[in-house]
Amino acid sequence: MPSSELKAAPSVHLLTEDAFKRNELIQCLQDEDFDVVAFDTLVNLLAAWKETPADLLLLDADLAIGGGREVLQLLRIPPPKTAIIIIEETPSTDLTFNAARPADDSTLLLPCSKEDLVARVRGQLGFVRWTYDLPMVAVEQEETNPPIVQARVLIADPDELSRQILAHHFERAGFSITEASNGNQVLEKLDSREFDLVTLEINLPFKNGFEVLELLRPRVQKCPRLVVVSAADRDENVMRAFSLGAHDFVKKPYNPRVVTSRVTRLLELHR
Amino acid sequence: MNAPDLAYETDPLVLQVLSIVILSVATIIGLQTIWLMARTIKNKQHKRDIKAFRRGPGRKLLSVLDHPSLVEEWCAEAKVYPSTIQRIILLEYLTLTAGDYRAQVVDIYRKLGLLREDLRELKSDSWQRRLVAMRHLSLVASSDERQILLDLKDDHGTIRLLAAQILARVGQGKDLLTMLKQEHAPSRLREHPLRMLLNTAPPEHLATLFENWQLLPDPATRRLVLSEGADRLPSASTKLIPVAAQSQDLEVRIGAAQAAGKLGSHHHQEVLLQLLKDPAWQVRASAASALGNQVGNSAVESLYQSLSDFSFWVRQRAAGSLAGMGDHGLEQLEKAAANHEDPYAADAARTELARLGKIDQEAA
Repeated sequence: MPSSELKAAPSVHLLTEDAFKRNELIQCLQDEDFDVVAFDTLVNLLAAWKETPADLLLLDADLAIGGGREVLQLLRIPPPKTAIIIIEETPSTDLTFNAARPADDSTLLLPCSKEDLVARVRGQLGFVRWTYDLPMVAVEQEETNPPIVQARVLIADPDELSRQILAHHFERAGFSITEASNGNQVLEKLDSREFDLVTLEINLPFKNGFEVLELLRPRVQKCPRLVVVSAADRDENVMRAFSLGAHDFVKKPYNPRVVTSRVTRLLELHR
Repeated sequence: MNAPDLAYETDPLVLQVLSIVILSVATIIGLQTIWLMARTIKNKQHKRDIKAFRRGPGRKLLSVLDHPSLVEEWCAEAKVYPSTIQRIILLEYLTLTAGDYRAQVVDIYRKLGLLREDLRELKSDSWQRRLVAMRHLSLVASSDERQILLDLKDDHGTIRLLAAQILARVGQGKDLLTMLKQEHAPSRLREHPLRMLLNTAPPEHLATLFENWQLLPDPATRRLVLSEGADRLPSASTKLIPVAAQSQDLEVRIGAAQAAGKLGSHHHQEVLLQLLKDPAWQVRASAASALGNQVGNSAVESLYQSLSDFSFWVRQRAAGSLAGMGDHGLEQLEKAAANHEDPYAADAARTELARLGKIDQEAA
């Protein structure tokens, strides 16, 4: 396609959940006068795309909702009408994902130099016919089959790093996160809003995890899924947690990826 | 009349000494104040560095762990900060995480050269510094560090124990044997970490220890190995129990009784009944406890006789074991409490019955 069809300052929509990657890419592209708008969640991208689609979509292959496949389906981009660059760290072996990709997409393997990135973006923009007649049906789909993205999770742990690690992984999985550092805060937050799932450390200040579990049921109308995440993993603690209504017990130290999978599965079963 | 002269003439030497003392004290206080101020400034700087690291590279670390290709770049950024700060943050991650996620953090720890620093510290003359380095190593060491850890077998006891704990995870079966050969009469306080080590050691390491059990020079260590490993390697310990019961050493015979008690099998009843007649009361007490774990109640008669042992501990353990042997055991206890000709045996039985709530404390 002739490059004369391009706008003076091509707009780029960037979707990645990784803040570090996002900042780096924005910086590189803005230096080259691209009009970059970055999104950390698919919902935000869909809303913006519905208003004004960008000239180019920079899409992280590694998204919590399952990679770029779902994004392409939700955006319903008819290939080869929109320029797409998939940002990948390793070549994808996911055949379903590859099949859903447009024929003329381009994969950008990270890490790469700024020059490579800019050249790839420019090349891709010059290659594509521009039409913006993309039907947006994502919101309707969410209503009929609500994705996990909407799960509200409360992380209760006195240790800040532990909260940060779980929050990071849960956010990547699309959950909205609220944090609490002691037992009183947990009860206050549960009184003020509804949660789908609560991760609870036993050794919480003021009111420990067991006390919170005991007080929870009479106070909350719709009880969330309760996952105890604790280093106090003696058999009696585990049994007590389950007898007080916990749905799962995760022992510290944990692999946050495994915790996220367990929590996701628990939420799926609940739904 | 002249008024008395109240003015004292002070000896100039005393004045000189006093002024030297005052000056010395003032100097010491001044130096301490300077030292405290320097420490305060250093601590504040340290806190500022930690805060800055958390805001900068620390915040990015979570994302970097999701994208291994960015590790090199992150390491370059982290290296701007002192290594103590890098280590503090990474150790926080290491203590909190597990699995492949933790392995990634260990990889970063190595890439930053922190492991190299720890290994350098292991050569320090100060054992406290070596101990700190060992604590770090216990979180990040792999089989690559095996020889370095084995070389610590003659080091300070606590360092040796930590090295043994790490080797149980990353080393080979014979490594644990090498380290435990150096143990000599561990105190009761040291027994707990040794028990933990034996309980968490992989079965193949434990099997090597059992095969070479006779090579362990220290009887208390042999006792611990036998008693802690019994339930994890029942067949190997079944072979060792009769040998240990014949040992000249009191500790080893106690180990035999404890191991037999843990196995709870009927096969070892003969050994335990033999140990119940041992000249050492510690062995008899262990055998009395162990008999309480045996299946069936064929040892009731022997335990009843042990109620009149001259050692309080044997009587108490025998009564406790009888109480755990069901109705027949309780009957014997009640019989002893009511009309045993030995008042000490009757007392032991009554105390146990009172503990169980079968009779009043006052009656006991």
